Amino acid sequence: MNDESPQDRRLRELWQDQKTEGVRMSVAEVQASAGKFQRRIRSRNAREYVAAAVVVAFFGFEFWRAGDMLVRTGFALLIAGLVYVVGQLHARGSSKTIPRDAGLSSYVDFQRRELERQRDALRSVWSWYLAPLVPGMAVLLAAFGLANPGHSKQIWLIIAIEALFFAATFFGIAKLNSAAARKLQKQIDDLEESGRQD
Amino acid sequence: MNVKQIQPMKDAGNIRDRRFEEAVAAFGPALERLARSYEADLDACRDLVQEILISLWKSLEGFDGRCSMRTWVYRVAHNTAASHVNRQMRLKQQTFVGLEDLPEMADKSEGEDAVNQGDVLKRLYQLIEQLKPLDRQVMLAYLEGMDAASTAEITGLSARNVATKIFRIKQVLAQRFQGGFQGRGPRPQGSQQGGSDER
Repeated sequence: MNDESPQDRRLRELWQDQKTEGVRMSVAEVQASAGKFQRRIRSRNAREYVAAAVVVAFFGFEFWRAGDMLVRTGFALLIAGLVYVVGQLHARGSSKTIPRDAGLSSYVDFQRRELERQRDALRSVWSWYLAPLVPGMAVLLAAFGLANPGHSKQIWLIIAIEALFFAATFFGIAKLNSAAARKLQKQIDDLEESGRQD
Repeated sequence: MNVKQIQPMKDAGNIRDRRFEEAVAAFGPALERLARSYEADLDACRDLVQEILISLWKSLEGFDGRCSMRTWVYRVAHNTAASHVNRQMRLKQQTFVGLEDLPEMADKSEGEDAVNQGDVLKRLYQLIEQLKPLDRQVMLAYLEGMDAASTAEITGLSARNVATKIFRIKQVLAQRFQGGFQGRGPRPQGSQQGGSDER
């Protein structure tokens, strides 16, 4: 940088000459820290799985307690849906470690890949987050209606209102995620623009 | 696994360890400055340095010489640090500004004299911490004395964008630090303390 002013040069000298603590990490210490870091991630994952297991256990208990076949089917479907959603959340969640090829990617490429991954997860929230829960909930609502034949008119009205409430909630979640995906797309477009060669 | 299979793996591990030690010896202080620019809290900064070193050590297994070691080290460091910043952004709802917005923003230390080098560095860090990760990377590359081509290689920005950003960086630094070097050299003619009346 030949066109630098004396002030620029002094500022850069000051920056580069500033006192640092000194990186004192040996290979053995890095290896030990990497192991500790991995154990911390495994422990965090385990906590997430325990929380999911508690919910599944609750539905499992309801499944076991229910005498009606349709109710049991509803809880079984709900459990299957929840297990699928938890698996997807884990697979699609934020990356917890930097990939080994981080040195091959510039920031623009690295960040774009990360944003695209998040955008795709948000865009497809219907297929992996909401839809898997629908069969179980629908069967449970139907089972609830069929289990109360004496109040057929009111009970189906209540079920219709509940179904509408769930549908509106799901629709709201999907809309929010879609808006978040659009924001990410804007960031991706900006990144692509900044990296485009003239 | 027989002995013949184990030996190349051991050699690969040794090469990686040696590269890591060389990289830390060459770029350790720069990595500390980089981490400090991304994380103001001292303990969190030490954790970030550690995270960068772990990422670097892991990544060096795949280093194949397609780019220089310096580019590799800085890419890993910036990608790790930027991920750290993005996590903080989500947790603390932080927002950052672009270089183009800085001239319009008030200088937090406006009116204060940068009486020594420590003050100048403090103000410099305050300035860097406000920047979006990409602009922060260009600023750091500039302060570390990298040329535009190396900066473009590390960040992925086009050469034109790097040139534009460096031009803005120079403007901002001139505006904010033109009075900040008492005792280290002559102050430019007609300059004002802290450059406050430039805004």
